[in-house]
Amino acid sequence: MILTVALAVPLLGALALAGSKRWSAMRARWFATGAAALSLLALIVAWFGFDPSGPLFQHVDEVRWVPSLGVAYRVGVDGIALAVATMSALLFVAAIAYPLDARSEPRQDHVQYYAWLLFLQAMSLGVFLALDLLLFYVFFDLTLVGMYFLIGRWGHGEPQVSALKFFLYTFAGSLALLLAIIGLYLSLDPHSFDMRVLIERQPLAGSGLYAGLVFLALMLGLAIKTPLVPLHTWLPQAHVDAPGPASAILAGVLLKMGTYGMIRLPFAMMQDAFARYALAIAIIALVAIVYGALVALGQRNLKRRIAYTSINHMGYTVLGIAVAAAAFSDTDVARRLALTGATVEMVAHGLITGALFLICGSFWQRTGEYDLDRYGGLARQAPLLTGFTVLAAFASLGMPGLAGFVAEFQIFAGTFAVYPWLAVIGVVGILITAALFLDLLRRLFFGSRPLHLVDFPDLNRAEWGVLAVLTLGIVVIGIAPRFLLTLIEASSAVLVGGR
Amino acid sequence: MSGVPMEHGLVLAAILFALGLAGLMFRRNMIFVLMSLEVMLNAAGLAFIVGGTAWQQPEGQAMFLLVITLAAAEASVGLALLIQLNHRFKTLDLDAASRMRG
Amino acid sequence: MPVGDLLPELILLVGAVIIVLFAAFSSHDRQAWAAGLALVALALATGFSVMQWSRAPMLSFSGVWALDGPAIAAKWLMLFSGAVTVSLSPQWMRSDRRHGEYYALILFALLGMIMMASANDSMQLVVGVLLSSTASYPLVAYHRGWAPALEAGMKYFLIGALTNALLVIGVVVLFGLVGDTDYARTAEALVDADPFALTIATACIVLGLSFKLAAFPAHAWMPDVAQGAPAPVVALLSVAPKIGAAVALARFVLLLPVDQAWPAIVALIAAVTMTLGNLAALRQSDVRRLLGWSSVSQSGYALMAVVVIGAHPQALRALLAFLAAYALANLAAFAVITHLRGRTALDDYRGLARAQPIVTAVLIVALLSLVGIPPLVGFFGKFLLFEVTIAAGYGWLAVVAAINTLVSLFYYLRVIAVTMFKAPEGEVHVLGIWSWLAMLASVVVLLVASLGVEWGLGLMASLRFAL
Repeated sequence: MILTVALAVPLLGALALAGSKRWSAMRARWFATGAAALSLLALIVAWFGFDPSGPLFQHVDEVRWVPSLGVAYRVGVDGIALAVATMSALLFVAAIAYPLDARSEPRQDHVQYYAWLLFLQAMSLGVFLALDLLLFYVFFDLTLVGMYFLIGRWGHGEPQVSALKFFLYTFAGSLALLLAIIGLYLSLDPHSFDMRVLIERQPLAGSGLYAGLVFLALMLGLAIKTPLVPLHTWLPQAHVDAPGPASAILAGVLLKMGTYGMIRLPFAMMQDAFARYALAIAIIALVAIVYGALVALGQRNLKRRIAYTSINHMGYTVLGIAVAAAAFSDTDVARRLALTGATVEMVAHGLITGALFLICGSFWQRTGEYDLDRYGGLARQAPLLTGFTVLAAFASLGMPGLAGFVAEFQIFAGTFAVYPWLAVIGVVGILITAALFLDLLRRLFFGSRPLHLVDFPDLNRAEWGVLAVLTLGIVVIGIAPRFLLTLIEASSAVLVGGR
Repeated sequence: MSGVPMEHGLVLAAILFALGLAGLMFRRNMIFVLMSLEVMLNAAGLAFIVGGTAWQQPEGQAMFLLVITLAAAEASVGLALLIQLNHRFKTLDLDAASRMRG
Repeated sequence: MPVGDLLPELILLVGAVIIVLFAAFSSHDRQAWAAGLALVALALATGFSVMQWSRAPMLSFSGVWALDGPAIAAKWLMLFSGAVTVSLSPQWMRSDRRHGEYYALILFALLGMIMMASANDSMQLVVGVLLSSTASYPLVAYHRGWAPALEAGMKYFLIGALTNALLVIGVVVLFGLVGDTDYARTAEALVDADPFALTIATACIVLGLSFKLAAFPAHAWMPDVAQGAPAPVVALLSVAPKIGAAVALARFVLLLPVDQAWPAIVALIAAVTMTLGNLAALRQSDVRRLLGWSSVSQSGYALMAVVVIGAHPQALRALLAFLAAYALANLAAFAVITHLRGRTALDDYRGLARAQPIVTAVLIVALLSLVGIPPLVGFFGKFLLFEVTIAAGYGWLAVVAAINTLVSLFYYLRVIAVTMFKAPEGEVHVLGIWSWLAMLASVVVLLVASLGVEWGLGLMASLRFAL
């Protein structure tokens, strides 16, 4: 029940907001924050009720929906899903509570904005909690609808073009995914969308070309969402034109659907096929790591630079997943480590990049400007902003003691055991990332201050309050990750060792 | 009926149909187009009769009656359209009345 | 004679005749009452066809008239679309003071379409197609003072007359081959028929039905009609003939011997139709024309199920589910357009969301259902289509359809974006309470169908043709 509560509360909140005509923007914001926080609370309760030594999926709810097609409302979590979902809920609370960086909009409009955010929260959590393939697809698609309206209506620059590009590009991925899902569905007898059955039976093991095609379609759909390198071109533009909080959600939550989907679908359901292509995927991930970092280094646009680091970081995650899927039977521990690392990377990247994009929103609200060359010398004028940005940037480049390090350490430790030379190249990515973040900090906060920034205000209370919560999460995971690792390891052990 | 071989009837029907089709394709005057349509449908009617006779089935003649009835209905609707067209565009040329594209 | 088997159709016929008489003898200000009469006839017909459900599947009138699940389900859909059209019309037609016959024409057209779906005899099929066509031409050109309506009517008539003639020729050749028009005996006799003549017959009949389906190559009338005809008529003509023709086509291709190449040909037509419709819709700046082209592409999807109708036991269910989903969404979309007094240029939809939030919501739901965004019923329709085509070995067709779905998303989103993101301009005039109710009814049915998918699928699970 508790997971259903986590899904239903934001959805009902969205409906209430959509139906309300006379609410002020402030009241709507508090209401939405409350609904999002309740949903987060439900997930935390679920966390406390989760038994790491119990079965793979827990808190399962099942309600008939379309039994003649084998579709049902099935939700449940393993450790991986629970960790990612809780992080997502936290990020949604943060994004909703954070002030919107739209510069001149009628206030009434903002009620709709919060309604869409809550709707998006319900749908995103649905993706992570669904145990039914079709339900997964339904939520996966509906997140696109939510994000489309958020970017198109409250974005800046050329929001409609970016929103359309985002929708079309990722919907193409969805359709590949749908065909693959139907392929999986048809391989079961009797046909069913139940993920648990699919994971248990591995229906496509050893079925050659058919399995290869299904796997290819699955990975294509998920890689667009992640995004992996040749398929990433929708991401920077969508980010730059989206409002700050929506950007944070896009990077922190929506991208995770790609990698989470890789763990949940091909990794768990088609271990055979994934093992066969693990090396190829690891290499693609490596390309994403290096390419994302290099391109990010070349960006002068603040938001675009952070967007490209997302590609780099999601590359680490995919690398971890690919390593975990590789078929070397004597490296169980290393592969388990890699999978755990990949999951922690999802959580860490969500918090860190979420914080960074919220900060971008604050910059935009103050100046309407993303060009790094137009900034400088803000360290003294805006110490709070500087502090939070420095911390998030250091976390992102993998500073020990912060969340990113825990994740990347585990991924690389696992990779060394399985594909040593890939790990060596991958570390280059970390070096470039460090360089680009240091450069970013230097340009924003140090050096001489341009004249138009004379009355640049520091973070207000709502902003630093939200950032403080996210930063706290980053630090806690960095220093005492045990609580998170126990949860995730419970599931990665089953998934990796369970073959 | 046995005096006329079946092939002759069918060939006649085919020729009539081809004439009608050609008229429909190449004439741009609405009246001739309507006439061509009539010819085509009557060719079909003739073929029904021939076929019915060959198979000794009453359906051929029943079908013929249906076809000419429907052809008449269609022609009357077509003529009504033609009158309105002439009224509106002052021409019977189909191309002149065609403005919606794409 | 089992007249009871024809009760719904007889009611439509009698209703139409009564309306013609009523319209002839009543004053101008009472012409709209004919709409009430038409609605009563439609309701009665629906009621009686519901009663036929339990007796299906069976053949009546010595095998000529099929009373089976597909025919009855198609009948319900067509009657519903007729009812929506009729309720959209009175206020739309207010400017035309003598329009009582309009409702009679709608009933006649519906009667013809229902005959197509139920025909188990090629003679019957011809009569159904010709009746529905002949009644539809005047409907399209009903605004006889308005040039685009006349032009659309003329094009519709020309393409229709040509393809109908071809259909008749196809039936003649078929009759010449087997000496009978009854489907059951046709199927038996076709096994050792001359393949060349059979190919000609099949080609002509498929071509004739493609006109009613608005499928390639006889699709060209659809966008013109969508743009020029009265908006309520478009709601009817973009939906009901398709349902009738698709069921008729499915029934017909099942007669053909298995060694014929028809599935490949129909698959090709399906692929071309959906691609052509979508590509043409991409560059439209006129919402009605855009929906017309989208309706062409949707016919292509429907044909996917016809391709595998003999190869997969659930193909028929997929076909009907898709048609139902399409019909509901398209009716809702055209109900919105009618309610907005037929506004058609895309730019006129700017900022509609602020001026008319509910109308916009209905439009968006309808368009998203046409794309197939879950959990709307359109998704289930497409899903079932993909499932049967992949399972029957036509994976390439499913991929083509998926790509087309993506393309279609682009132009549907263009409409949605204009309503949601642009600033409103000017005042929005709406039609009135009748069109408002019809619009709400169609969207409510759409949503109920989305929620009640299981019930609908259960209803259709055991559908089969009576043969």
